[in-house]
Amino acid sequence: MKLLSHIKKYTLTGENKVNIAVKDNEIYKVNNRKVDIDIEALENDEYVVHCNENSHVGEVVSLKQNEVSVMINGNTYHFTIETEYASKRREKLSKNSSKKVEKIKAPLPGEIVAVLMSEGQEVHKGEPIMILEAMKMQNEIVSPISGKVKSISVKAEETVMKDQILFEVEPGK
Amino acid sequence: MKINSILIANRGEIAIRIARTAREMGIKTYMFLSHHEPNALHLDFADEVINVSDNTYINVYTNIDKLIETALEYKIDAIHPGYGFLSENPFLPRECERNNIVFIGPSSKAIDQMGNKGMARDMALKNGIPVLQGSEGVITSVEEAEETAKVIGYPIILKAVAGGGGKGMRVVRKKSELPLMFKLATNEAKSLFDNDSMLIEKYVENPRHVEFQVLADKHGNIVHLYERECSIQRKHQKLLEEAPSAALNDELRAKIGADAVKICKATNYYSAGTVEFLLDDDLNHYFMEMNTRVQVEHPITEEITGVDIIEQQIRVARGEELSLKQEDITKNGWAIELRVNAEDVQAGFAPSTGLVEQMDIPNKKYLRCDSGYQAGKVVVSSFDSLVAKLIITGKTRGDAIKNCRTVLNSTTIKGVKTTLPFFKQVMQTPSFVKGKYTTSFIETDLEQNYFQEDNELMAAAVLAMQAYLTEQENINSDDLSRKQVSPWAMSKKIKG
Repeated sequence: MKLLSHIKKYTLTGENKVNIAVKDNEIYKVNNRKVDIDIEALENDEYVVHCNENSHVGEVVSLKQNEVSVMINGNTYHFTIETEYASKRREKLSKNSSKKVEKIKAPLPGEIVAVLMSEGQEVHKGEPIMILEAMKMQNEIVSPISGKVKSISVKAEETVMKDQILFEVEPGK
Repeated sequence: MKINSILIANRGEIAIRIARTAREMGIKTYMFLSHHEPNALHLDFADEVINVSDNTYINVYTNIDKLIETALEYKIDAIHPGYGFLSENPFLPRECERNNIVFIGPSSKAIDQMGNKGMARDMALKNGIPVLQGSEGVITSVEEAEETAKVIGYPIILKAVAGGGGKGMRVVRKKSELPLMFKLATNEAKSLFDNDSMLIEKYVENPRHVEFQVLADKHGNIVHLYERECSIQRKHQKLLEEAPSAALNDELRAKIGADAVKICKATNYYSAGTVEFLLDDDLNHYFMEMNTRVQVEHPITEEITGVDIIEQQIRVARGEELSLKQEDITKNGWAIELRVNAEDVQAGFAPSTGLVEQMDIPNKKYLRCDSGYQAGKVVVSSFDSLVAKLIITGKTRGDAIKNCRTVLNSTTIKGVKTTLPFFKQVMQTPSFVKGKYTTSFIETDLEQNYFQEDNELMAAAVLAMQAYLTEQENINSDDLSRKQVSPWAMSKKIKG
């Protein structure tokens, strides 16, 4: 016997934030609006998501604990799913500790062809620090923030693995 | 000179492309099996496969000694370099000549001359072909750079003399930026090419990139096969090309085409080649550089002219005279090439490697697909990211665009992320549809780099949420034996 509807609110954080309310384990509101949802499975691991009057074909790429990636139209959407409170709390915490050193990792395996800056140098946001060559393309690895180069962990001509730390930048005051 | 066999010193789609024409001409083809791609698709298209996978310390496609040694060992008549790798290295044709192997391409001297930016520019100037105003000789100090920039007027572009492919270049819009940009450009050039000499040229804001396909034989006959428009680029790499260009009228076409032929004549050029020009707002054209090889985008020219460019390269290499006369070459309809690269458009076109899990390309009479991949093949990080070239034709430009949309809507590639969502977006961007776009298209005309349906984000969130809820439900019900139940099954269960 069910007396009260059980409503739970979640926040999905990806490039954009989406709030979803779940009532009795069913999606009930998206961004505070009631939605009519039906999900239909296709044979090849794909689903047709009917969302109000729109339909989209998508698939679940990965699901690890509360990290979910889905793909629609060749675009990927990565979400971290938390309850609304947990999400708000995390945001607050990260705001207070914004002065942290940025560690920049290699976005893909390749070779460092040039290091353009040295340790201790002042950098502006978006300024290239080094050049990584991968798949015949040279990619400028830029500083995500303005500040000072704290350390550089690779040399020119060095081969690097994906996610290897390349350099650290300390935020300016 | 007879050519009964060809060593194709390349891989992927271009190796397959060359083999197709060679087969039609009754020529035997050889290709390499390298350790990078033991399972490569192109191997299915070779008459003979030479296994060099034990040799893990070399890249066979860039090793001149290995190529020559192989050709001699197997008594192969000719080498076709394709594009990239050794295709514009003057030492390969020189070594071929020394060893009595036919090089399918231009002479060593022509590659050398046209490969050096300074020399090519001088050659154009000498022959009365317009070039952008620039520095005389090289620039080695920031003071010299300031002097030159004052004469030419801002904006200017700094270019490493030894550079290429967009490397060692910086645009300077005003005097105050020059010292920093000069430092960045010289640093980059020094570490990349071990030569920090610079050229300075007037910078054209928002130009169009138009190139002419030329064909020349060893007897002094030269023709052009009209132009290709390649203004849709990122990081100076082309993504979409079309032939002809919507920017040219017949008069301008004839004028620029004549300049393209003129520079080939001046360098005694033979084989296929491409002469690149910039067009400014007022449709003035300026010679940029010449590519002395077959281009990635050569199929769109083949589609509108009906000429097999690889066949022409082989015939010229044999010493035959061109059978084509300029007045016989006509263009019909419109062709667009979409370069489907393994790249993550959402992450700023970062390469995406891995197994191609699914690759469905529709069968249409207006679609030609040149590809070195199919489902089950692996995109490795050792080579470029080109997965397939979708070459789409139509009677008019409008038809071709409409056909592009149809093809894009029925093409599926899974496993690696591709540039398909980018092209969907391009096909509905007004400046592209009208044919009024420039090389800054990606930065200025696109709202975002990839196509999204209305409410796509919401649907994605809903699907993710449902997957998560289903997983939670499974955990709570202690039923962990089942693998990820479909969200659909779950939602039905809940709805009853």
